Amino acid sequence: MTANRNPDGRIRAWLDLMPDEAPDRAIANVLQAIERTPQVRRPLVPAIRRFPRMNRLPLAAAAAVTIVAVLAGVAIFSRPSSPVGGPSTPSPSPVSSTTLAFAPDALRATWLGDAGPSASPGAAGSLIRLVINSTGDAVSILNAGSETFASRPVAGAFDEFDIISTASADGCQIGDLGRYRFAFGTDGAVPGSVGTLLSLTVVSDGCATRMAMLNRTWVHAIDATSRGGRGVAAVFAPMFLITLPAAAYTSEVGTDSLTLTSGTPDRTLIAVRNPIGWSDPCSDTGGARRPLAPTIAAFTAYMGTLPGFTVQSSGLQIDGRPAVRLTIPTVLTADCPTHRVNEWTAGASVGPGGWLLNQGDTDVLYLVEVNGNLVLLQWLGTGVTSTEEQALLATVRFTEALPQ
Amino acid sequence: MRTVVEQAMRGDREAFGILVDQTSDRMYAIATRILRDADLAEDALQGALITAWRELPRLRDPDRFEPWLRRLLVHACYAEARRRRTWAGNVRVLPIDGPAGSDDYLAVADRDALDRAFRRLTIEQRAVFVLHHHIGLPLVEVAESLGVPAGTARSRLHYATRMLRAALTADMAPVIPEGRMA
Repeated sequence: MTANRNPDGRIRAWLDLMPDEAPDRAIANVLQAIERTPQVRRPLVPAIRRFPRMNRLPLAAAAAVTIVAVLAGVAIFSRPSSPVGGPSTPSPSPVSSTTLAFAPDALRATWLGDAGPSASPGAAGSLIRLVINSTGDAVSILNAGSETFASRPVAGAFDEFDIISTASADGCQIGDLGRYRFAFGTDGAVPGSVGTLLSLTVVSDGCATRMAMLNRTWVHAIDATSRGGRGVAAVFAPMFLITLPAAAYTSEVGTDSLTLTSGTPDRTLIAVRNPIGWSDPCSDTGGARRPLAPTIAAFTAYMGTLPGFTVQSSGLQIDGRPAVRLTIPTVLTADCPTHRVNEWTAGASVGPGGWLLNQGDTDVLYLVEVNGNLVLLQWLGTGVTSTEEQALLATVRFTEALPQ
Repeated sequence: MRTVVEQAMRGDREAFGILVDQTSDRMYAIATRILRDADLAEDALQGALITAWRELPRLRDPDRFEPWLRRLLVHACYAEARRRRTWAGNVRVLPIDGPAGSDDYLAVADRDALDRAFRRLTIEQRAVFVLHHHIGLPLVEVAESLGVPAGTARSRLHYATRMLRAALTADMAPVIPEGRMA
């Protein structure tokens, strides 16, 4: 054996042990994902900022021409619409054009609605989602996991959200024009939540089935790609309202679990309903699932059994309900050779996987009991303090139904 | 590379595919070393590349594509480390055996000691260490890649290096921690 006794040489050799080739499937996934991922639009403003002494008129004119060109687009849909007016709606003014446009910035989000028993098509009593993409050029309704009523914004009055169908499906024909007045409201639970509610009031719609779905009050969904703010997480019951700091969040949804992540600043919200444990937490898979009663006491006791874990609990309230903050410092233990501990998984999840912690790290989590369920919440990121965590949790309101 | 970056900035997916091909191995190598987990590294790589595609029109200097991508990757590693989520499959720990020939250079006990010491570092300390010692970036560029002051990068590197060196000595000297992530 020719072991090098120079510590730095040995450290470098150890670093070199790791793989250097990206797996083919990772590359394939990326290339597949970008096919359906739009790019942000290039900002027009910096050129003006960079040359402050420049005569701005030509730039403004150029910008105006660009905007007009974008908005003008090509009127590609030829079928004239036959408006179906909703009851007691404002009288529609003549539609002058179907010029392609972009949805107002404030509308670009996912919105939740209660399909209700009368919606058609739709599952009675279930939630539907109005999805207006981040570039403002695509609109659809997610109903029981299916994308329906594919539409595209068109130019309209300043207080209108006007769209045309881009597919002949769901009772609509390509080119069916829908005109809706929009207004924002507040859920009333937390000051400053204006924008949580979006009411769409039909002016006219050539597609009656779409009108039945769209013409309602919508609630901002926080459990989807979003820019933060106040919204509802409806991945599991009980739903909850929460106000996230402004940032670009991506969402991952599992059975009974939600993870929202922003890159700048790096923050992650984890919410899990009825977490359960593992019988062999130091193994690769965690072993068999270990059912736990959905109570703070049962989960806290279980965490105390994990190797190297010490649980410190402090009481507080979340939405007026008894809750605890668990601080869990951990140390390396010989009975956990990889020093990776499978902590918990969502009780209703299928398949392998769950949340892990490296021994030596400290975990912080919140538990609250809500109507027979245990909800686990975490707010993670660089420099997160307990003050920041609790300021966020002070905005949480659990709810059985969407706020109106 | 500048021309390809400019094409990709204009929405050319084929050009972006070329950039992915040219950079993904280097980026993956960074992610696996920071995270010490193949699955998390794969997720971080994918996340960073998709973010790069989406945000590419905002890149100010096409010649700085790779440093810009590296920064996205490190932030994706931070997020993955905190998410600790492995729904996609069983936890997959990186093979303990490295490439052939390394055994002559590095004893199994050393690997174990270094693995343990590295896991005790914060993710930010790991990132500085990997970018400096594996990629060979000067500290100024490391700081730029991470978006932290040079002094912070230096402090993290100093602490990480000291911890890893200490792990290789029998009489491990006490080290004052810089601070742990929550």
